[in-house]
Formats: sequence, C-alpha cells, structure tokens
Amino acid sequence: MSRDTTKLRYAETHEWVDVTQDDGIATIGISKFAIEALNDLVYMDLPEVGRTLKVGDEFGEVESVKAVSPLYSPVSGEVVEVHSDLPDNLEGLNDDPYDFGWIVKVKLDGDLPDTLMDYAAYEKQCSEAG
Amino acid sequence: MWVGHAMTQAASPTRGRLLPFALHDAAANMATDEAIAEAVALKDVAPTLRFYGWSRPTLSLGYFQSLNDATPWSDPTGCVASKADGTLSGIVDDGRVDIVRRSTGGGAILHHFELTYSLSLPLSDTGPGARECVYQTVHQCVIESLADVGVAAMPYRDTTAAAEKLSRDAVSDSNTGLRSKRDEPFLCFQRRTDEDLICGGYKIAGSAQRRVRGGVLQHGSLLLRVSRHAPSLPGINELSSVAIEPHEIEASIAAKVGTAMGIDWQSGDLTDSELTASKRIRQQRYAAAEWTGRR
Repeated sequence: MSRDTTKLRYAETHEWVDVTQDDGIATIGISKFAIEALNDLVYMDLPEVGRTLKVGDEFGEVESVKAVSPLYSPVSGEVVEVHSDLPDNLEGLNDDPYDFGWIVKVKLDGDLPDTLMDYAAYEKQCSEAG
Repeated sequence: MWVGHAMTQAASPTRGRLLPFALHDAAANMATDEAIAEAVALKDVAPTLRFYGWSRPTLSLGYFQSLNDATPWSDPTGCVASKADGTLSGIVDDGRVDIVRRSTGGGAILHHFELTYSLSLPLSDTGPGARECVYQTVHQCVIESLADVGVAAMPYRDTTAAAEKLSRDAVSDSNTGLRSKRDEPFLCFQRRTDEDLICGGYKIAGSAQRRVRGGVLQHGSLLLRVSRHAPSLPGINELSSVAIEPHEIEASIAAKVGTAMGIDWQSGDLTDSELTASKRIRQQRYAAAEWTGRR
C-alpha cells in the first residue's frame, strides 16, 4: 500500500517522517522535491543500526552532480533498521521516494519535534523555494 | 541562492575574504577548507575565496571513491611536510604521491602543477544538492581570465564532443543508470560534465562541492602543466604553449568572481578559531589513515 504523503511530517531540510503505525517507530526518507533538486543521485551512505540520533544530526550522505550533501535526522532516537538495498538502487529512490525510497527506521526517543511541518506547510515551503 | 546573491543588484557589494595562493600539504589544505566552510556557514567570517597549491604531488580522492582504486599512486599519508616557497617551483617531487580523501564529490585529481581554489559561501535556503550556478559562475570567470592571457577554453556542454554524446545518448540507453554513472573513469580529468572547462579537446578545469549546514564549499582545479604522475593529462602549457604561474592569474579570477557574485574581496587571514578548527579537523580526518581508507 502506498504511503499517503498528506499524512507524513516534514523537516525544513526535506526529510519526511512516517509515524502513522503508532508503534513508536518513525520511518524516514527524503521528499520528492529534494530528490528532484538533488538531480542524478550517484552515491548514498547509510548509518549503522544501533546508532543514536538527535534532531538535526547527520545520518547519511548523498552525492549528485559532484556535490556531497548530508541528510539530517528529523527525529531523536535509535536507528533500528536501514534500507541497505537502497544505495545500489538509487533509481528506485528517484522513482518512488515514499515507499521503496525509505532510508531508515528510528525508535523514537520522546515526542516528535514541534518544528516538523504537516503536508500543507511543507508544500508551502517548497512552492516558495521555487 | 547564496546569502549575498540578493545583494548583487545593490549599490554596495558584500564584503568577502581573499586568501592568496600558497603551497601546503594535502591534509592541511583539506582541513583548512573545511574549517573555512564551517565558519562561513555560521557567518563567523565573510564569504571566502582561497587559492592554493600542493607542496607535494597529491592524489585527492572524491569523497565516495575507493582507496583501492588509487593503488597506482599508493602512499596514503596525506600529511608529509615539505619546504615550500609559494610558487610551483617550491613543490617537492621525490617520486612519491601523497593521497588524501576530499570532502567534496567527483573523481580523483592528481594535484601537481595546478591552481586550486576553494570558495566558501553561506546559503540562505535549505534545498539540498549542488549549487550549479556557482559552478557556472566561477568557470565562466576562469574562461575570461584565461582569454586575457591568450588561452581559449569553453564549457564541455558547448563542445562538439558534448553535442555528439547527447545525440548518441538520445538513441541509446547505454550511458544512463546508476552503474554507468559509477563506472566513470577514476580520474576526474578523464571525466566530462557540462561545466568542466575544455581546451584543445582536453579537460583543464573542474569543480566539486560539499554542502555544509548553512553553506556550500566548492573546490576547483585548473591544470596549468602536465604532471609526470598523470602523463595522459596535458595542462594549459602543453595545450596552448602559454605558461601560467598561479600568481599571474589568481587576481584576475578573483576580480571576475567578485564582480559576478557581487563580492568585494579583501585580502585576509585565517582567524584563530579557524586555525584551531583546522588543526583538529586535520588530525581527525585528513591526516588520519582511517579517513583516507574509509572506502
């Protein structure tokens, strides 16, 4: 079943967060807007399972158009699963950023940060960015 | 856009810092650039354009490249001290090549008779990925500075070779997909991207970037002369019979970049905070075997 993008939360830095399963696990990826901006992904680095993240920590990196960009954690918690097939299947991330393109799952430590946006607010940010 | 971009139409340009050409070892060069980029992104210092060379011939790996692919050059120290007098003649070449891993993307570069630059800019937006306008702006300025000394260069995208490749790709999918992107040549100067600068059919300049929180670091290399450590890559001297020393062109490039970006460069120095950060970053990353060999 496809993830409903209108139910996700979004970070200013273009990561999406899915907490709809209500199991204390946040699934995290990067938005279609970000993927289009990245343009032609070639490499991706993932974190190790078990790593503890705080909001804003770098949890991975991507390379596109000879530029390396960090990925920032939108939540705090422990990495409990990583999508290890993703770095070798980045075309799949381009094609399907919200389902196949999930990157990590994090066991939440506390509440979601207030700074995360809902779909409407994130759409507004993207439209203003052009 | 970068923070100062909106001011380019204003009467007074943004103040910037210019660090003139000097030779340093590989680890120092990379650590200094990272310290500057962080300070610029935090707005502790002004946007900074730094020119430099390498006190020993050095192979720098792109961030995601494998050290195993650098075996032909094979001395992953990255931090051998040497005497340097600030010109290309001060480079110590005893036959060995240092190896360092950059923080920026792209392919490996053999730095020897080269003008290298780093440009650190603050960014006002949170969008990810390359700032291609920065590639384009700096490279256009390099083209104009080279033209002033009688060297004709152009972006790869404007070459006949690029048009022919585009035509081939339109009828074949052989050059698309992740595998083909990763199968590009190991050396950056054997690759071609749209903004690379071409002279006489050979690549003479290329750049790559690293996004940091609140800013961007762009590295770039202008190949002045061929190196015996990469003899298949001719430089400007071999391609145009024009011999250029870094100090003969850095001011021109800086002036043109300043005009294009609305930045008034003023010569400066690293701050104490940047020097401290640079020493820390050098030890933690660029002079550490774990960093160089992490892939």
